[in-house]
Amino acid sequence: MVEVLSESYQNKFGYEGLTRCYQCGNCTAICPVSDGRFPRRLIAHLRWGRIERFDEVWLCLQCKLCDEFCPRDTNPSLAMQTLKRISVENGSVPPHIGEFLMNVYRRRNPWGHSRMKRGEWMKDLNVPTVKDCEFDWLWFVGCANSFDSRVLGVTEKIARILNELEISYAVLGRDEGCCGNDVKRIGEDGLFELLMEENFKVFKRYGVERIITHSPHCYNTFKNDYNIEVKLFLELLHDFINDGSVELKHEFKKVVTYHDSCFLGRYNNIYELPREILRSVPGLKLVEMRSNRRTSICCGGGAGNIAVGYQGKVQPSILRVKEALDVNADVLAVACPFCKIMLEEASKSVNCNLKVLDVVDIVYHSMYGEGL
Amino acid sequence: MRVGVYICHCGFNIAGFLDIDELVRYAESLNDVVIVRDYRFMCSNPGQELIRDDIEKLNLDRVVVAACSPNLHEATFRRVLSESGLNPFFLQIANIREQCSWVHSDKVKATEKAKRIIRSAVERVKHHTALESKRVNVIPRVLVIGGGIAGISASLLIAEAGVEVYLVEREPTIGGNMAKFDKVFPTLDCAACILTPKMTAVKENPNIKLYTNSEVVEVRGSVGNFKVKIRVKPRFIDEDACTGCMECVDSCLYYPTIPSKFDEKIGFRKPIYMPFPQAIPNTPIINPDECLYFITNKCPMYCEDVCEADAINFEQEERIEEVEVGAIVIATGYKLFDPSEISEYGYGRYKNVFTALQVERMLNSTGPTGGRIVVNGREPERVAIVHCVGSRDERYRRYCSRVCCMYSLKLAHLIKERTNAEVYNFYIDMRAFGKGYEEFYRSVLEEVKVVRGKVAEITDIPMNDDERREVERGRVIVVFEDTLLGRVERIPFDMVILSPAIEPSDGTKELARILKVSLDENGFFREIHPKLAPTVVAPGIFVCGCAQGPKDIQDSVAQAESAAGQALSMINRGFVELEPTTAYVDEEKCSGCGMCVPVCPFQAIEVVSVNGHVRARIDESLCMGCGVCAASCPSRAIRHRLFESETIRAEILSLL
Repeated sequence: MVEVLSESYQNKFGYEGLTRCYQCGNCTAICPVSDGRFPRRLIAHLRWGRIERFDEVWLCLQCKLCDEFCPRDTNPSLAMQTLKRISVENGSVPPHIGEFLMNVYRRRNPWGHSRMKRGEWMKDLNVPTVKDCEFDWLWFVGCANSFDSRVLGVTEKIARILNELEISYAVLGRDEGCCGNDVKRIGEDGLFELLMEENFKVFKRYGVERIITHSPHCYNTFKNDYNIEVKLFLELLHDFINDGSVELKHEFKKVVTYHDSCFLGRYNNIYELPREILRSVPGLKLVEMRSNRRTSICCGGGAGNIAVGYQGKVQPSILRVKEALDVNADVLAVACPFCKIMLEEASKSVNCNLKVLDVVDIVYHSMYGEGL
Repeated sequence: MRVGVYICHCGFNIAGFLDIDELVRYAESLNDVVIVRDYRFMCSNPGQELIRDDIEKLNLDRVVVAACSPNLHEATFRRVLSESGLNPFFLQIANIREQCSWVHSDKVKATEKAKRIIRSAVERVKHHTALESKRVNVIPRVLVIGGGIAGISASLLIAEAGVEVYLVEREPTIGGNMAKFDKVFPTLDCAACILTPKMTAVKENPNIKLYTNSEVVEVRGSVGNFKVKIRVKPRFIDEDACTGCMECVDSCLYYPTIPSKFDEKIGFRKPIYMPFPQAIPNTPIINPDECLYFITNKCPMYCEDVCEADAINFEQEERIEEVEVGAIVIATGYKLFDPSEISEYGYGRYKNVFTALQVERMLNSTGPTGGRIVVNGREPERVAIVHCVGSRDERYRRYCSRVCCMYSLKLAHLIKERTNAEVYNFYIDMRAFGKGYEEFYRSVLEEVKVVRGKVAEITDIPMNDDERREVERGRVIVVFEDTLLGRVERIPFDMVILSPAIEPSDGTKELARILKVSLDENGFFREIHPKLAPTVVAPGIFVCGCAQGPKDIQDSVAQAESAAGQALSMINRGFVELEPTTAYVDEEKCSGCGMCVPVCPFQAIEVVSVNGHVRARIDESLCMGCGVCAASCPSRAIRHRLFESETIRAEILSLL
């Protein structure tokens, strides 16, 4: 069915920059997961206001790589997001994305774990909650770091480092919800508004003014959609390494390459911070993959794909692992729980010795000589 | 006072938006206004006639025209006044088009604003005093800056009319970028065959004094009377004595290892060199930063030994020459955008990636490869030509560079002809707009592949075994979407030619500062009207060729001859009328503090002694009437003839 949008509909779903596109095809050619049918062709449809059902739009990971290569500032990723919004509005969402949204809606996390279990990871740890102490910083742990066994280790290490540094912080425990970053990226604006409202209520109840988080997804939406003061845990770590409060004593004699998270890199222009931290680890040799910084490719976990796994033919996580192997790295360092989950899985599936570690894992090892 | 107000409809431009009847009624109610008329086009002959009649019959002594910007028709209406026996400065334009009807969305509010604009013009014009224009003689000589095809064409036309020309070129030879080309589109003429006769004509024309290896360093004065300083850098070889035999270059013991700028760094030369065989002047040059004599002082100086004309002179020094001219023609041309900024194209990283100018040099029979296309030591079998490299790109240069489509097609044709390689042109929009261009495009389509799609990436990292084999053969892989097929492709190429954006030459900003003229948002010289005065930059300063914006050779030559015509017209008239709207000093009030001297952008003010008192003095032939001095004067001794304090106050009060 072809539907020509009325002008008001187009105003609602259009975005600034759409008319600048001159259909050069750079975005499609540079996209690691495109099957050739998007983004360029869909931008032409959107511009015409001819909206059919485009299932291929859900292959887009909202990684913004095309935006970097666009000669016209058209922001093809925004066009994709706009088409997703239209699909959501029309109720035509593929099952794997539907499941993600349903889980977030019902249980406030992508996997549908019980909300009651959100605080379980800290059972045996001494972590202050907002109910029992005064605090300067709210540590917003994030869904992956709260529930997923593959990154719980990172969460525990962050807790130990925060305690050791005597930071005045607290966590929300059961009251923590979902930040909604990926919900917004896939165009479910209604649910996003709901989550944001709910989170603001909780922040108000406990007097939260400033947030630290380790998840680039949470960081991005707090910074750019909520407009609330937020700091990355890595920024904190970087400051403490620089002023000597954190001592990196133990050598980490490995060749390490760093994978840029889309939400740190292209969304927020943070490229050097994790690299500087890695460089300060004694013994560590940092090498760069062929796509790095602004041309880095996505792990495949963005835009709601973290729950069920990326459904496209091309698995970007496997491309990424191969790139790391091409530069003979022992360790693929990440700074995002989603990247860690996706890349670890890919590394296992290509059956190689590449270890996927969070920057926090490496710093923790260098501080305490353990934990790997 | 008897003021006439004339409201122009400007077709629909004004009348389609503002309520003209309301404006007429309003203007009639203003003090001292004796007649208000409206008309479809006030600037037309009948419109002008209305004003003329009224001045005569109603004895008007002030006129307000509510119409477009004074930039367009102030001069027209001033002439109407003066033809009717009224001082032309008894006119005020109320701009109700650019500053009102064109820019607002609320018709009622805009009409209210137009009323105020008209009221303030009426109040202002009552304060105007009679001013007389001054005439200044024009020095019958012209300075042309830049010796490319534009500068050469302008110089020749002026010189052939019997007027003396100083042609200043920064490089050791004239000829510019055109001298680098092999053939030109769409006729496929040999570039050298049509250019070198013109270069020789420059050399032989007694009216042209040629300064190569030279730069304009200072320009003072204004239209009709410019005082120019030219820095002439030493060539270390006497141009008059040299016969161009090239023995000196051959004898130099230095190996040709220095990348040649003329050959776009794909050819190499010695510290003593001639950029190309037909260079004018036909004299080699020694670069003192490279020559062993200058660096180490230990050189057997074979060049000096072999020169039978005794032309080599290591003692030559830089000198400054001063000339006086009546007009200046800017023809400083272009340079190519540096494509290494676009990292995904790998220019500078891959040996297969070239700029279009480098390929022009390869194709040229006097170039570094003697006219052969060579990549990695052999002829390419598959060649990609990438249009719009840095042009029409928000990240680099936003404008269209205008010539790339055509020269890319030309290169495609020449490469096909010379190598029989498979040639692909990657374009976004094909712009073949000139005379004969579409026909040329059609004929090239028969021999090359033309793909609509921008190249996204050029890489040597293979995705599969086939690609790995191609990369091992020394090819690079070009990644693009064929947007007409909707298919992403990766094709291996032996050679990739980038067609980079055209940008203003180095030193354009500096020259604009020296000439006190402005540049447009892309850094090219700004003409005062894009359609009606495309070669005029400022009074007495004209521009042509790519210094004004990207253009091809035919347009450059046409514009050069237009600029020459402008200069000749001025010289033939013999004088220019200077606007009397200048600043003047009230010597009673002036304390001679000199605050005004450094603020004047035209160096028109000096402090002199008048009857034993120090006083500022303004040279009115240099003053451009900007008013900075009047604003800076602490004792309000400097005033501006058309902007007296009372005039401005009346204007502002009636706007409020």
